[in-house]
Amino acid sequence: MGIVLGTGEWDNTRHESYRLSEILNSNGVKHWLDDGKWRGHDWNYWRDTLPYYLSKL
Amino acid sequence: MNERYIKWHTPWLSRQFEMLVFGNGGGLPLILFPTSFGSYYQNKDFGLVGSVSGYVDAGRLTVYCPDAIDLESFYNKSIHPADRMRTHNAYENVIVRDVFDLARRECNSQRVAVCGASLGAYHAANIAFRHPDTVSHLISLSGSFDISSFFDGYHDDNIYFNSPYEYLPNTLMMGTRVIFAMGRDRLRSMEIQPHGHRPRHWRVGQHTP
Repeated sequence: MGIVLGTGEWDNTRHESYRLSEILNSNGVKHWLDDGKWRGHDWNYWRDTLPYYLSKL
Repeated sequence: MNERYIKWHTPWLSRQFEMLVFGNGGGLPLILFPTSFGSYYQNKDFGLVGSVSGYVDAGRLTVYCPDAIDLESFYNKSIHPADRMRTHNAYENVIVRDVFDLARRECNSQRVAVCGASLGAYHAANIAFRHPDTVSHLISLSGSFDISSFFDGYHDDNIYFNSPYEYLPNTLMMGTRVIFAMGRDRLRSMEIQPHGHRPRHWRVGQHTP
């Protein structure tokens, strides 16, 4: 399964992506934790990143 | 972008369920969950579907936007916390048995991609981890995976097995091989067969007493 966890420096749930990433790491599950600058918990950022992640599939 | 409104009576909730589908049933099937308090049209209204319209129009992606029922499950203070999770179990059945099946059939694909933002990412992630045989990709946008606050301090096995922070540390996943730690002194290694994710499909590969 390809997994990407997108977050950003202004995301108020940023710690959750890190916590899940840590658990996946300790289980040996490959994934991509993408912590971007100038990104928050917001539709503007989600509209930018979803097509970006799809382009990486 | 071709848009379809689909409404059907689902036996898993014993009521009507609504969904918007974007695309012609080709390419990668992407199941896109709403955020907290969002409905099946939320991801369209906020432009998240529009952000991938290029892929849809090129026939490389079909986006399925099912409804959410968080107000009847997690946020429903009028029912017992155990029933909040049971209601969520019914929702998961709608997604996996109805929505996944339609998406896989239409796109002629064995597996689907799941995505959501915030609490929608919880739905995507939890279903992906619980059904790894039918999910090819998990895209989490500002994911919020901690659901512990929804149950007013109540806890049971069903909540455990739907809380990624609880079950994942005890679940080692390597490819399709899943090892569940059961209790403190038992380890069972189960290999998931390609066509099912029910206990009768699992083969116990190793048992250390």
